[in-house]
Order: sequence, then structure tokens, then C-alpha cells
Amino acid sequence: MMRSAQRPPSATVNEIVYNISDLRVEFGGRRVLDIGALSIPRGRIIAVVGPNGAGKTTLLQVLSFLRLPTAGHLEFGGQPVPCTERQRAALRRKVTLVTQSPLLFRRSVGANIAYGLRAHGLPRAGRIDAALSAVGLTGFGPRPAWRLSGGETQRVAIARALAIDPAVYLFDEPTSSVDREHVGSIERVIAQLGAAGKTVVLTTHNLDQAYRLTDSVLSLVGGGLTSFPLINLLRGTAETLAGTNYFCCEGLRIEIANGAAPSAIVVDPEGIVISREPLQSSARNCFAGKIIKVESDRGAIVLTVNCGRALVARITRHSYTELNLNVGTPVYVTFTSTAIHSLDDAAASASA
Amino acid sequence: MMFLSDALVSAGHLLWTLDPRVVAAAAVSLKVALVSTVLAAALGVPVGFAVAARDFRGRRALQVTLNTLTALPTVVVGLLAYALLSRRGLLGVWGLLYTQSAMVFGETILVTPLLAALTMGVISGADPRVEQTALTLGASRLAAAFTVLAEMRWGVLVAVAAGFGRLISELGVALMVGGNIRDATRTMTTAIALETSKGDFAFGFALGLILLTLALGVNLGVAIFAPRR
Repeated sequence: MMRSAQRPPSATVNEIVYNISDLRVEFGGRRVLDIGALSIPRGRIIAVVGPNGAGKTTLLQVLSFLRLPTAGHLEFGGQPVPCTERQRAALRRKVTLVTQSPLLFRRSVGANIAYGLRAHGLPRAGRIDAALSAVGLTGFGPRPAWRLSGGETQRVAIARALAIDPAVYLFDEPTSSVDREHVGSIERVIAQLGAAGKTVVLTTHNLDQAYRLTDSVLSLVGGGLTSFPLINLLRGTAETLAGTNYFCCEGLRIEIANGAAPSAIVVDPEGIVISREPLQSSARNCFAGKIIKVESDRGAIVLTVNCGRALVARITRHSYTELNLNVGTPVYVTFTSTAIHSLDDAAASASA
Repeated sequence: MMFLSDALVSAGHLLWTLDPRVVAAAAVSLKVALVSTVLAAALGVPVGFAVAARDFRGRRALQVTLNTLTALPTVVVGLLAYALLSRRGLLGVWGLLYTQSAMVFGETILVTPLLAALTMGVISGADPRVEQTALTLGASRLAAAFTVLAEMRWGVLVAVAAGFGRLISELGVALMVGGNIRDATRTMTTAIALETSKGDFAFGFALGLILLTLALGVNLGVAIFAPRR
């Protein structure tokens, strides 16, 4: 499931913190999370990316034991997550979640950090100041928490999590409202947590951040993990021509759903149709190109087609032999706008 | 209209000279209202909090009941308290009728549902992130619930102040189970009712001014001490 680690594995890397199988979460009969299998090893930093409404926040709520799955199996530290509230309360102390728009209690910044320390039975001495200085807010302890800006609030929430020093940190969009100059300090904090052997799961819309900061990137689309994490990631700009919405990048003009204005899109490799002739279909995204790579993957064929920009398509072995494809074969790449997933920072902040 | 201005002047004189009848009625009113408010808060706030914060069987019914009880006519509560405390009543053996304890008993019954309903409203309006944040920081469910209450403390305080306001100006219960006995169970409101019926408007106005000042004081206190959003 995971991409291979980019950093040397630590001694504890083989330990599994979370083990999920056939986990489902439903709200009012609507399935918002459906994960077949996922293991999260100890001491790793993992990013979860995906469009809005993909189930990222729900996944973090499940991992922080705030929400029970509707069905399926969830293990923490090799033990099934218990049903009784008392037992789950003990598990919650090993994990902390910093939400996307965190809430600070209506008291001083220092008292906010002291809250977690008290709940964990930890001494205050030095921990409050250390946590605040880690997020660049030295001396903020006595300030009233309700007077802070959005970015400062998010950093205090991260400091509050650092102070209690749990084994697992869950961050929902940790830098979404932090101003540009402080994003670096938050990213450093997260990197240090990884170096200290903590397990970190974070969600982000910032793909650069995801790949730069983490060992593994999971992509969640429509509540499920996709097997191709962000292959066919295209960066560009949206524009409207004659009433139709297009996404322009690297020489390609791709028709996308109306109203969307993403800064990046992902084209699902399974949603791409490969043909020898241009397809007569409602799909307007049809590009001519040449196959530059052919690979076999778990019973399917993965083709890389250069059509100005390399696009990866996943087709069945049957169509591969039927179309008589090989490296160098000229083909047409066709996909509808439903194969496109928008990933954009603007939409993320608008929904916050 | 001359009698009105004369009455106001006389009222000022009564207040200025701290007329013993005025002071006694004000003292009884304050004492009964304060003790009843404390008791009603001790009963009503936890009930309102539990109804708002916890899901249990019959919760909806309890919510509706509490909201209905806030509109209880005071004379009905007075009647109920009288029936319970009179010699033939269930609690008649206590011999409390026409004492300040009887008034506290009745007033507490009157205002407990109000405080429960107001607290329920305040806690229901709390940001759901408060409880979630407390849980993610390692608090137990109970500790998280108390954090919600602590976060909403100003709203609860305003509710309690509203309860006090209702009690200090209450007439029906005070009259029916207190009996309007001078220096013992005569409150400002029962005194106003009595003296007005005797034609002594000055006395009524003097007590009315104290009542208004008290109401103003409570509201000013809440406005000054409660932080601005």
C-alpha cells in the first residue's frame, strides 16, 4: 500500500501502529470512508491527499478514536480498538489530533497548553515554553487565546499537541491558515517529530509539501484509497472559453467540470481509454501521443503515453493484446471529466 | 398628577432616611431571592447541562417539559407550594407555611425549570469543537463535558442572573406561602401590593425604585464582567 520509504528505516519501523481492514464509515446511510486495507508503521510521516470531501478528515477522526467506524476492523498497536468508552479514553491519550480550524479554549495561551498537560498528568514545568518556542510563539503564554490571528491559533494548537508528546500526531491541514513565513517552522516541527520516532499522519492539499515532508503519500478519493497515488498530477491554470471550463497545463487543454478552478488536477489512470483511432464519444479530452513505456502491474498493463506531457493509463491485459500495443505505437488518449480529480488550495480554504 | 410627584418626593425621603419598613422588606426580598437562586442554580444548571450534553431516552420529552415549565404562572407554583406546606399537606409536618423557608421552597420550584431551560439553551449553543478538542487533548468524557460548561460559564451566569431577576420581582409565591408578615415575610413586591391598596403610593414607589436599581445593578454587573465576544 505504501510507497517505499525515502528515509532509512529506524529500529522500530516494523511495528505497526494502525492496522485497518475493510473499514467503513457512513453518515446517514451515505458512505464517506471505505478502506480495504491500510497499515501505518510506527515512526513514519504519512500524508493523505485528495480532493475536498474525499474523507480525509473522517479518516483522522477514526484514527483519533473520536469516531467509531460503522463497520470493519481497526487495530491500534496490535490490539483491536475496544468498544467501551473507558478503554477508548486510554487510547485517546496516546494520540492527538490538531484539526483544520482548531479551537482554543477561552483562556490564556498558556492555560490552553496546560489543559492537555493536566489531562495527561504531566508536569507543566518548562513544557509550555518549550512547546511555544517550537512553533515560534515564544512569550505568548499569558496572551488571551481569543485575540490571536488564525495562523497564530493554528500554531498554538500545534504547540498544545507538542506539549503532551503523544506517540501519534494527526494533523488536518496543519499549514492551511498559517502565513507563508511560518509554514517552514511548522514543517520543521513535523520533520523533527518524524526524526524523534513519532508517527505522524497529516492531510494536505499541498502536494509539494506532501512529497517533501513525508515518507508515504496516500491519496483518498471518494472515501477510498486509490491504488495510483497522484500519478498524472498536472499543474496549471483553469480558464473558460466559450462557456466551457478548461484546465491548461504543459501544452494540454483539458476540459473539466464547470465551476471548478483547480491549481492542480489528477487524471485517474483507470479512467483513461487508449485507442488506435480517435474515439467518437462524449469525452472531449482526446490527445494523440506515442507509448513510451509499458509495464505490468498486478494483472493489468500500465502504459505511459507521451502526448506533449506523459500520461499514465492502466488498461486490462485483454485490451493491451487486442490493440496490439507496444513502445512507440501511436495511440489516442481519451478521458472524461469524471476521471479528473481537482486538487486545489483555493477550494480548501473556501471550505474551511 | 400632583399626587404622583408628591409620592415620588416622599419615596425619595423614605429611601434617603433608610425607613426601617423599606429596609426590612428589601432585606427579606434580597435574602429569599439570593438563597432561592443559589438552590435553583444548584438543581437547574446540572439538569439543563445534562439534557443538552447527553443523549438519553426521554430527552425530547424532558426538553419540552422544561420549556413549558418556564412559563409556569407564579400563582400556580404558589398554590402547589401552599398545598404541600399547609398543615394538611404532604410536607405540613415541617410547619414551614408563612416563613421565609416556605418562600425559598416555592421560589426554588418556580425558577429551577427556568434555569434548567436557559442552561440547556446555552450549552446547546456551545461550539461542538470544544468537546472534541478536550477529547483530543486526553480529557475523559466527563472532564470534556465540564470543559464545555466552563467555556460557556458567562452564558450560564447570565442565565442565573435572569433567574435572580425573576425571583426578586416575584409576587405570587411570596404572597401565597409567605403571607406578607411584616418584618418576617414581607418582601418588596408584597409590600408594594399591600401599601398601594392602602393608598400609600410613596412607599410603593420607594420599593419600586429599589427593585429597578437592583435589576439595573445585576445587568450592569453581567455586562461589565462578561467578556465581549
